[in-house]
Amino acid sequence: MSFINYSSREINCKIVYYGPGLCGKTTNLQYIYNKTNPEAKGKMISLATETERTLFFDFLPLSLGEIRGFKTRFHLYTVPGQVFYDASRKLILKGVDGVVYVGDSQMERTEANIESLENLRLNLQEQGYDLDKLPYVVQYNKRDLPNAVPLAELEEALNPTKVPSFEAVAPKGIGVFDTLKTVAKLVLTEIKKGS
Amino acid sequence: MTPSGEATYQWQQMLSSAATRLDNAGGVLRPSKPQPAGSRWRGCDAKTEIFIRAPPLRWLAYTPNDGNPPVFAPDRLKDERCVDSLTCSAGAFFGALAFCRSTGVIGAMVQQLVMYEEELQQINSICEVLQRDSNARAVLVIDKNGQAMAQAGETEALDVTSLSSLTAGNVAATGGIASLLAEKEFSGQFHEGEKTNIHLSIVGQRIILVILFDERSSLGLVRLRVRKAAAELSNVLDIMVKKSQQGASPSVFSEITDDDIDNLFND
Repeated sequence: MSFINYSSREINCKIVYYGPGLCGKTTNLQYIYNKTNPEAKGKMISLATETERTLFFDFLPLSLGEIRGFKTRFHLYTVPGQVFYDASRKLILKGVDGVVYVGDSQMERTEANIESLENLRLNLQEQGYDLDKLPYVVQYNKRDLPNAVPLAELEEALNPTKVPSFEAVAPKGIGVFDTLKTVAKLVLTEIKKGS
Repeated sequence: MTPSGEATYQWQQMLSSAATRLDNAGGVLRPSKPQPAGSRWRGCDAKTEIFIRAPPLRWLAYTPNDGNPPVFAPDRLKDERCVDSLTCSAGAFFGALAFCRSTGVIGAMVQQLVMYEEELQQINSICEVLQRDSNARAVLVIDKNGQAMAQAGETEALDVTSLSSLTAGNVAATGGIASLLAEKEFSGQFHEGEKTNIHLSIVGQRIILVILFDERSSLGLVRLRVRKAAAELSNVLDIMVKKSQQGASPSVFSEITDDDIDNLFND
């Protein structure tokens, strides 16, 4: 849920990166963190296991500039993707303003992608959200791998509502900022509509 | 029909209250899904299901799509006391839910929170008094979603953004534990450190009051002062929520154009 502070002239929004385990959610945030100017970012928090699997969430605060004298700040979160962390995923989704679904392009992860997407829809419903009404984009990560599923098949399976989608190779940053900019724009547009 | 801000607020409160009653009576809300072929409820497009919390999870009720009152399956319950309590609370919840859906309140439920100058000053004042009276190192007011709202005391060296996000995550996680234990919430938490201690309390189910204190204060004193401050904060929060819903001031977004948003993202 966005938070507008008239006193400090700030608009604060929350974007959650969702997807199956090891799809590249944390990598997206790490790339964004590494490539963002120090003035525009805060500290990146990662609550992870010893093997660097996200345990609770990753968090990265970003400032994306000013709009009509109001600073726009986005809080980026990732969820833990492993199936048994569902309770944690529900908590991280609270107050979400925009969602990035990160799909793993590898053929072997097709079922995991679909399961994660259904899980996203269900967890949002439980919070009173409708995925089809939220600012939402899809990212197909790992496009550089030899076992990547053709884009058209991924679109059919993971993007039936034809929201904006991006091909990505997160460690190299391909598609990472395009994804972020689009979802951020959708969030601000949605808040504008709502007002 | 577009509900007025006041009506929206009132129905949200009623829905929230009914949901809490239902929760306390042992019901668990789950999203709807079509029933499998051959099941007793086949052909019904349920809007909301209620399950008894204790395993095994069972069907209790559903709301038919045609707007008729909810249908209950009390024969599936072994404890009749549970039936009465769940029936009453479920009825109240479904009543509120049905009204909210029909009037569009549901669509308006996820709203932004707006902080105005007046309320911010009041909150800052409460924080300053609390920090002084409890001899605390710092006092922070954080939204449950992790946004820092106000602060007082020695906060210059603090990474307030990270602290806010982690605190909200902590509270969310313990809130999840509370649900599992059939508790509404754990309204207070205390973590003892070597030099600095932290006391967290949830105010108005919406904000988190964080007190950082050291050997200059004590847990007892902090708890004593928090009680009064929490009541004052709760009042200010109520006003803030009402103002947000009623749109007390012209929204900043009424001036923002689509070009403004596009220009923000142009390199």
